[in-house]
Amino acid sequence: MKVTIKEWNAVAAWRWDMPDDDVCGICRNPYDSTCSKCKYPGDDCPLLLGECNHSFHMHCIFSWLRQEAAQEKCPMCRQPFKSKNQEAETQDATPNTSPA
Amino acid sequence: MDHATLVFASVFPVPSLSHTTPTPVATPDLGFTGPGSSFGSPYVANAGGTQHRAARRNLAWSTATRFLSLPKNTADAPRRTHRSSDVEEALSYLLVGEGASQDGEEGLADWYANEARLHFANHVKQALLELWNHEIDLRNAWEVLEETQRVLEQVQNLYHQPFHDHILPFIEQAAANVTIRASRSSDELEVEMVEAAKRKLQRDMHAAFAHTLPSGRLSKTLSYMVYDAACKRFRLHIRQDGLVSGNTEPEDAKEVTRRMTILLMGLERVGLGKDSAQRALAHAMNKVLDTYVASHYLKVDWYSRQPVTAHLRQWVESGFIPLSELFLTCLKCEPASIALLQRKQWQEMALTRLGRSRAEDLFDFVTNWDQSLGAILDLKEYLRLDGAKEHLKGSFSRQVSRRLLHPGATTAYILNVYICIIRAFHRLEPKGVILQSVARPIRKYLKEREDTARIIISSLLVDLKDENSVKLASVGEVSFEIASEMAKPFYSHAEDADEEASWNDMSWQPPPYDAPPEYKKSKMEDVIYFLLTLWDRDDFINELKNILGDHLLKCQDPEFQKEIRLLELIKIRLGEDKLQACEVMLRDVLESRRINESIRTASDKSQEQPPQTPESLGPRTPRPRRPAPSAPRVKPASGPALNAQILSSFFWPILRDETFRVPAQIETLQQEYESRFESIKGMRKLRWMNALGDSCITLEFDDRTEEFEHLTSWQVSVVCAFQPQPGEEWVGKGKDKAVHAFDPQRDEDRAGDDMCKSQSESITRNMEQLEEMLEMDESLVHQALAFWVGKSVLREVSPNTYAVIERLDSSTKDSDAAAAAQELAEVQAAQTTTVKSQADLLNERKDVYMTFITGMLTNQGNLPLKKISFMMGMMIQGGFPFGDAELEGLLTEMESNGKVVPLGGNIWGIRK
Amino acid sequence: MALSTGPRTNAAGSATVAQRLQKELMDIMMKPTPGITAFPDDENMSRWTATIDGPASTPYDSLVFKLSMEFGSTYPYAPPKVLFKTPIYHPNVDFSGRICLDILKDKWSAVYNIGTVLLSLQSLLGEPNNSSPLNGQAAELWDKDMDEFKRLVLARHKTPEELDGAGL
Repeated sequence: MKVTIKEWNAVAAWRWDMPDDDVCGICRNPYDSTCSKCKYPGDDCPLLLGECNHSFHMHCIFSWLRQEAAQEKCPMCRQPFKSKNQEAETQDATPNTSPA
Repeated sequence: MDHATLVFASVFPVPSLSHTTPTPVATPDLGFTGPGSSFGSPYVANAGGTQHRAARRNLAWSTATRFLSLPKNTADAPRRTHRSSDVEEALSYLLVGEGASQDGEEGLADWYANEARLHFANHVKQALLELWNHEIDLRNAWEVLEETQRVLEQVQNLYHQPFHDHILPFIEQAAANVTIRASRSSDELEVEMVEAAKRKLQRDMHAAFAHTLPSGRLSKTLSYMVYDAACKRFRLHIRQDGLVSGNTEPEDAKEVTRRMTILLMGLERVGLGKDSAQRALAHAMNKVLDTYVASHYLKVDWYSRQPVTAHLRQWVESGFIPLSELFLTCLKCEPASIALLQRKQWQEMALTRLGRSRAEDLFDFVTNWDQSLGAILDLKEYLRLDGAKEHLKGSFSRQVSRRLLHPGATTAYILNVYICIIRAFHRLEPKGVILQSVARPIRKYLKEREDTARIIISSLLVDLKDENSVKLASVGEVSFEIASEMAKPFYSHAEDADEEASWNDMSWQPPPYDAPPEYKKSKMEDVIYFLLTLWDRDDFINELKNILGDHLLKCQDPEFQKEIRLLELIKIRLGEDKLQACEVMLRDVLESRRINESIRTASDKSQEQPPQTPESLGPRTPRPRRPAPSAPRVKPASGPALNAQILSSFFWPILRDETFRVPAQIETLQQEYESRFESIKGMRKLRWMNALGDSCITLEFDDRTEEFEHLTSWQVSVVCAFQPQPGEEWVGKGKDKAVHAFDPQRDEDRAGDDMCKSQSESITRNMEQLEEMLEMDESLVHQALAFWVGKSVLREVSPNTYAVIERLDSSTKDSDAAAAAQELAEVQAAQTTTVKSQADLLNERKDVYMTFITGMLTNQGNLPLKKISFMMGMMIQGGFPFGDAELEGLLTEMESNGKVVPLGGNIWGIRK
Repeated sequence: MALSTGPRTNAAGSATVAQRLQKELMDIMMKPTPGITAFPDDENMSRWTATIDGPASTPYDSLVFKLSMEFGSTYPYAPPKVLFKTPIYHPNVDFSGRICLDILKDKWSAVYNIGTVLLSLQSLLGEPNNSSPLNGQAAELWDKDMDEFKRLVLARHKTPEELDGAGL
């Protein structure tokens, strides 16, 4: 007998490449969920990984960095926050903040 | 004779005192002494005057009474019109002259009345009583009454006639002699006195008549007679007394009416038309009303769907009322016409009866909506009357609880009926107050059933044109009404909810008096709204999320029209937030297509592919492979198309997630896809959920080729495992065939068909092997094997060992096994969604809730139950989707653990 | 028919704050930290009442202090306003309960939460910052005369029940 597969409809689930069950420190929502203001996850609400290796939802960290009191420091470690992301090149995501 | 003596005489008949015996003729005429000449008594001189008068009076009396006495056999007595001069004189003396009755003396007229009475009692009464002494058979009612009337009228005439002829003229004369008063003419006075005398006699007569007949029986018979007449007149066939009247011709109806009229008038003439008769008539008319309503209107007009109330009113106005007026006229009542107010009242009475009987059948009307529009419109009018609303509510609630809310009704059926109720009641009472109160128990009951949410959501998503859904509907899995409700176009309600609009609304009405406090008139309250608000919003959306996840993966419609529509609908009705999960899910499936395309294009670009050849043409001629120009990578040849649905893992509900190995080519394709995906989308990882895939394959056997669609992924894995695996020995087609290592590249390169005439050994596998090879759960292996056996692809050659059926004819006896296996496979494949019941949910989170309650009471002091419930709803993630009863249960449990104490009045506090 | 896209609109951002506070409440309830409690005052969750236990081996040992916390609409980008409700004798707390603590002002971070704030306050009790005191006398006494300091601490202190009675 010979089996020929004509079509295969698979299902896959995506998640962010973070340790499972982690939450964004700012909004306390899981990384795989959205920040508190967004509806759709993924490209519409991406993560930003800082050079200090701390990650947040992009919107969350932007809102934080906008505060004067923040002084553009990472809320976790108080180092200047710079994004390590490469994904900006492929999507219509908001461009990263200019390096501090 | 004075009154006392008369009374005495009537009880103790004293022959000598009996006044009916006129003084015998033989009694010597005492004569009277002339003035001045004495007869012998020493008192003559003084008492002469009175004695004289008395004696004279006595004489006249005896003459007159003799003349006027009534013969025993009245039928024979001729009418005497002539009075002899003696009689004339006597009468004159007694009625006009000095002999007229003075104080205490009996008058001739009175005597005559008595005479008539006694005569009646002695001679006529007996005959009548015979008629009336036993129960009157209703069939004879007419005859009995008519006979009675005839007899009574006859004797009445008989009694009147002498009175009229011989007494009245004298009374008239007497009246003429009375001193004329200033203000009245003599004629008037005369007439008055005459009439008074007549009336008195008549009254006495009638009293006698009435007393004779048993009043109850008379009333009853009379009532029946009238009822009968009315029934015939209105052609009522089904009657309350059980008699069935035949088809009455119009002429007959008229005849009956005429007969009745005559009889009634006659009865009135003989004095039987007084209060008790009127009551009897009223009673009869009451029954007529009921009968009419019952016989004409209980059959609902299903076809034209018109209300019958107008017709009923019309009948009351033009049939019932005229008949009543006829009665009044016959019985000489004043006034003989019915006042306007009364007419209205009677119409309302009729309407009430109609309404009541409709209300009792309301359940049937509702389930037969909308054929029953006519009946509903009837009820709408009925509801305007006092007390109608309460009656309707009560009656319908009873019907619902008896016929609908019981374990024998499937949830889908209850939903269907609920929707019919909503629709019908929208027409019945647009304000919706009755609906609210009637629906409360239904909603409560629906909430307690576990499958309600599932059925509602599935029904909302079902496609009416799909025949599968029809099948589902027949087994109670889908509610047809809900599905058709979804199919209606719905319009945006954005502007409607604006309260401001009521300023300009000239037909604005205040809420009805019996509306509950939370009543808020909203035009958006239609069927869908009621369904969606069965639960707390959060609960419902949770449920929706679970079901939608399942559904989306199985859905056929590539555009997901219905699903999008459903979500939009829910957003409009229930608000946007908390629907995030559903919206993300929907977007995932829509986006997946786009992603698929882009990934496939990318992979196509990077490697130029040879033209896809349909595999099914068979590997007879080895096809020269065009060398791949650039890529050094080994890749499968024209392989199957891999489409992937990409889900955002966080938002989808728990889906089945068994892991096993998919066929090698698929695995390769998946890995490719994965790396492509991860390079396009930074920072993301993909996880294949193999149990959720589906596939189409072609199977080529020695003697046949079969195609299969919509297979589950594990079924394909299993069947692929029956192909020779790498490194496996296989005696292929043809006995000369050298065994060669299985080369994936060269699977087309098998020797041509001319070699396969010889028998080929099928590959066999057993369960352990399959489990190991595929790293698959036993139950899935089992299911797949059962499936393939059912399709006559495999067969069980020995316990737990299966082989491919290369030639179909050699396994004909397996058809039974095949069928059984197929059925088994279908059963096993059915997924059940796990719907957690309320009780389970409560138990799961009990600890969380208790911690919250403790914290709340510690921080804020003692709180009443309602406040606790409210706070928990606001503060806990996911809300507190339980009622007060459940909360109280929790608190009681905490009390028994010594944590809290009840402080009375539903207030709870921390135990110190 | 297109799905609505883009960020959800929130009235004054208070819904996001409420969401985060709900999460924090859940965390506190499920994984309580010893020595610390906190609970919202009412259903809108913007005001909370918390308690901290005085740390052992400090003048505040075995005393319980009540605090109020107020969360604005920009939380967690801005710190909550925290006040001592229990009268306390401490170098960095003034007579009306205002606290001088860096993390509540310029050193605030969006990743701090109620738990971390309360823990910091607890440590503050044991390690006051005497270089920028709100209560100069207390700052002095801390270094010089611990017994007097302790006496004053106890004198000023009221238990939560007494506070309730006083209607605070």
